Amino acid sequence: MRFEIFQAGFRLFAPDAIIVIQMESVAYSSLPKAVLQEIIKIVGERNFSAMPVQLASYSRDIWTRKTLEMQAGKLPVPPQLVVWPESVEQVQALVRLASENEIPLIPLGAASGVCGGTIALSRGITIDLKKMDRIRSLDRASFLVEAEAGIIGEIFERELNHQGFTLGHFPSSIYCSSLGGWVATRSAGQLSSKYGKIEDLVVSLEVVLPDGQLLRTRTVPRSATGPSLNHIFIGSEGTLGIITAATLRLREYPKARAFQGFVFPDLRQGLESIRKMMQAELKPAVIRLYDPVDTYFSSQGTLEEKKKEERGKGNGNSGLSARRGLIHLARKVLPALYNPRLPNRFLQSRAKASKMILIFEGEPELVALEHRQAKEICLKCGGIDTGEWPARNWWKHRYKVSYTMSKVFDLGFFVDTIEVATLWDNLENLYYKMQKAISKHALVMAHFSHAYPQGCSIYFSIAATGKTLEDRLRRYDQIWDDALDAGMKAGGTLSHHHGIGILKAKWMEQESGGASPLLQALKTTIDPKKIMNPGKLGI
Amino acid sequence: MAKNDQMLEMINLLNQLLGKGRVISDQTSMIIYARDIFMPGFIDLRQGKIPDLPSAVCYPETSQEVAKIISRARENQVPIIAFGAGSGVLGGTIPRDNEIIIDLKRMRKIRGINKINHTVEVEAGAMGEDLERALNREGFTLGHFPSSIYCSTIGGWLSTRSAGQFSAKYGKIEDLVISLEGVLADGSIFHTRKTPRSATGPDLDQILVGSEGTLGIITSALLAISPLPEKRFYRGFGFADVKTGLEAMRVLMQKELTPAVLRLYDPIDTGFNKTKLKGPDSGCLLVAGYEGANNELTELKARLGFQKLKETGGADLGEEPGLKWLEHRYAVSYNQSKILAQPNTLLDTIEVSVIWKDALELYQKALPGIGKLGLAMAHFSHAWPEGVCIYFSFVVSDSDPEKLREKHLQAWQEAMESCLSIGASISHHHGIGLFRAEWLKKELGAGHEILRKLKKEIDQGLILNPGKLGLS
Repeated sequence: MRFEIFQAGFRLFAPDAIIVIQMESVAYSSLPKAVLQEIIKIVGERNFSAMPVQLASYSRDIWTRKTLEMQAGKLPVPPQLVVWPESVEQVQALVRLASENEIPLIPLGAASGVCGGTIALSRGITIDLKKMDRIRSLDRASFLVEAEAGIIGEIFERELNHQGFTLGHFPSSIYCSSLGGWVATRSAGQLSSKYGKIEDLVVSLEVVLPDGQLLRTRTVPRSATGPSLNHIFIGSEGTLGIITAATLRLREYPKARAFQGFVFPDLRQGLESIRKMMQAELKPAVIRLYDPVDTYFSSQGTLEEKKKEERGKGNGNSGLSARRGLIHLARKVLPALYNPRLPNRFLQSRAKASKMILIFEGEPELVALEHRQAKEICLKCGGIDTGEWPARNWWKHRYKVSYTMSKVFDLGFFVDTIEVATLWDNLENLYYKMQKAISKHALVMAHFSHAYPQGCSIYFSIAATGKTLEDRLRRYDQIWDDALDAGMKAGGTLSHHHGIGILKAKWMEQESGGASPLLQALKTTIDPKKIMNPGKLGI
Repeated sequence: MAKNDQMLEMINLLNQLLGKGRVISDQTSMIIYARDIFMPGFIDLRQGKIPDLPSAVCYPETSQEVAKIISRARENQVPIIAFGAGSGVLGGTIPRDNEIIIDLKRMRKIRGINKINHTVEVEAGAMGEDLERALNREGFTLGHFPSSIYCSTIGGWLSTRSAGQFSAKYGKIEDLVISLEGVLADGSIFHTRKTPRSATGPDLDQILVGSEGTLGIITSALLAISPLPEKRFYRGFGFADVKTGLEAMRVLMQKELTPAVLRLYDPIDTGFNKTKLKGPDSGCLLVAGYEGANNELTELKARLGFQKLKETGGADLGEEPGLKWLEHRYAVSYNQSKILAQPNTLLDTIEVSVIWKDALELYQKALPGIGKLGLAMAHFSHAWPEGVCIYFSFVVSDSDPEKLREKHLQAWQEAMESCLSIGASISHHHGIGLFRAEWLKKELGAGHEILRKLKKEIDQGLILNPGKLGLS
């Protein structure tokens, strides 16, 4: 964004200067000159860059490992070039050119992924789709919108709201993630229990295939016309083609909203009440249950902020998040994180209560009934009604958590999140097995925030440190290895909504349960030259 | 394709593998397995023509046996066809090249009903009605009620992307799949992860569902189930015409007032329903039914939904037309023989899928086209927030069997071309089989090329149900 302003300034005061700089940057690129000239012909002189500073900024996403590496002074591999195509035809031409010259392509939306899904392995061209950000059409009769892949979530949602609709997709990255990124990774929003994940919202796709052909799937409610082509590309993380546009289901902007908080004496009662609600046809927009450790830290964060507010220094963020509590605590007890077994054992044995947040939205009469029935179920399961406030407060600060990370790294420790899912009867088993595996290396807490009639996701937040930067990297890898080995063994899925990228690629064979030949066959046939986002998804 | 000696070798291998009694090849049985319910097949039948026959039929009982059969078939280059109950209507399971039929009906165990997870694990060869009854006894329902429920299997449903009459509430079969077990065309056994959702690459379940036995053989599935409804609210409404009726359906689906059953009959189809409408006789009957295990919620939705239908122009006909539909809901599939017994007549149905914006246009374009060739009518029986299924029924007659065949094809041509030009889908839930293959290529475009190459890669000898989905 800042660069755009910089560019705009340049255009105003020295309209040709930016072009001069970009053209000069060609000298830095390791791509063959002939290829570069072709690219300039395709996208024009403004829509590419080989400037080292820009390539460096495109060399990473929000994968914690890369942040740690950078702290250790290790710069990630940059792409050889960044291009900003403005049309489907330009994307097609770029793909054809890359295919002829066998140059890897890395499609990129807003690079807010956390698994290394958009970073170069050794070489390649990054295709940033942010200049393809139009809403192409809004079909009010069919409740459908077609938009280009590069549109940023928040801008998209606001425009839909102006028209009386909502997409119902609210990842906490909504300010810094794109529609294409959501579809490519099977993203989930905070209101997924009502509206579904992004794969539940996609009706049709436009995809540039690795040979430059354009695939447009049919915009129809359902069909019985062979395997689902949409489901080949949803979640494909750029390895099978470049998604350039999608048509999505819309809902009416909700007329009513109801907020409700609960606290349960223990986790099991909270989980039981979620299952009962989901299986009683209730569709809470938000249903979040925090495990006892997370609940404990949230209350710490709340206390800390409340104290500040009382002293007149508050920023109105009271009760924000467990992570704030964590930061507060870590400042005081950082040394404890060198050996996290002890604080984990202490917290896991002492903290018992689990906090729940519920929000219902939609048609007023339905919302009122769902709210009342949800309360009845929670009370029956042993919950204590904490009124509206906890849910309202969460709603107010719902995106903040994603934007407070950098402080943590500055303090000398690191955080990450691990999201998995399983069926109800395996949920506690998966939770305790993974909690145990992580507890050796990191402070760990979890919440349960995407529920279905058949099962639920678990979202672990971890914090750890090491004496040296190398120690931290080693510990980081240990955490993931032990956590996902335990998760796989306990029957969970590798990822509920962050995707695979590079981080989880090595478990994909195990995840597929013997069906990986089908995935490999997709890659071999659709992308025989293997130019599309190499190394991601383990294919 | 397969040479005679390879075929004999294969049948020998099957005998060794499965034992006597689980491989048959007598001609009477082969004639029975040679066809499904593809309507032009009846023209041949009436003339006493024997269709292309399979070489043998075998009955595996485990996924391991299916894997061995596929591996042997690959080695011997013998084509095979996975078979459920043979009630498809598009030639999806019929042999063309002496294929061996793998009848999965001996894999019919209900492996487990999980009351915590609300899931059932069931083998592919189980019959729909058997599964539903077993679930009912435990207080659950699958919510999947195709009118073929007495003569179709879970594997067949999955392979063709079947829809049931209560799809508005429970979804189509692809919406109920949690995980699959089966054997890929390369002989490898797979069990996909048992998870409500995941973000682990392309959804392999959704690639196998609908593949009509061309990429692998599904042997078992974990499906979502729902508590058995306690309360049911049914109501009939009369609408002036198709346009206002469709508009009412659309509003209902988009206002979160989703019923379980929502059906609109066009004027001719309404006539066949023998339901008296208030007002002019040319009107359309709409049936709406709400059901669910959450009594209060069902009751509220039904009250708001019926109110909305009145607001959007519906004349309340009371409970009776709805209950009448409920009672006779499977009858239509088993009354066709009366018409098919006529020597000069053929009937068929064509189900297509379209977004609301284009629904009326497609109806108005396709119906007269089909109507030129015989009696044509339609109902709208699967509604979604973004669109609807149009279900055309037609009857054509001709004393010359070849001309009858030609008229039938022309009627299809009219419907399919209308879909392709408007951007609708040529099939909502019957699938493709052999008959729709050419239109499928037009619908999928570059996508069909992907499927063709995928098939070639995973099934290098092209032995799994060759020619279906246009994949050969």
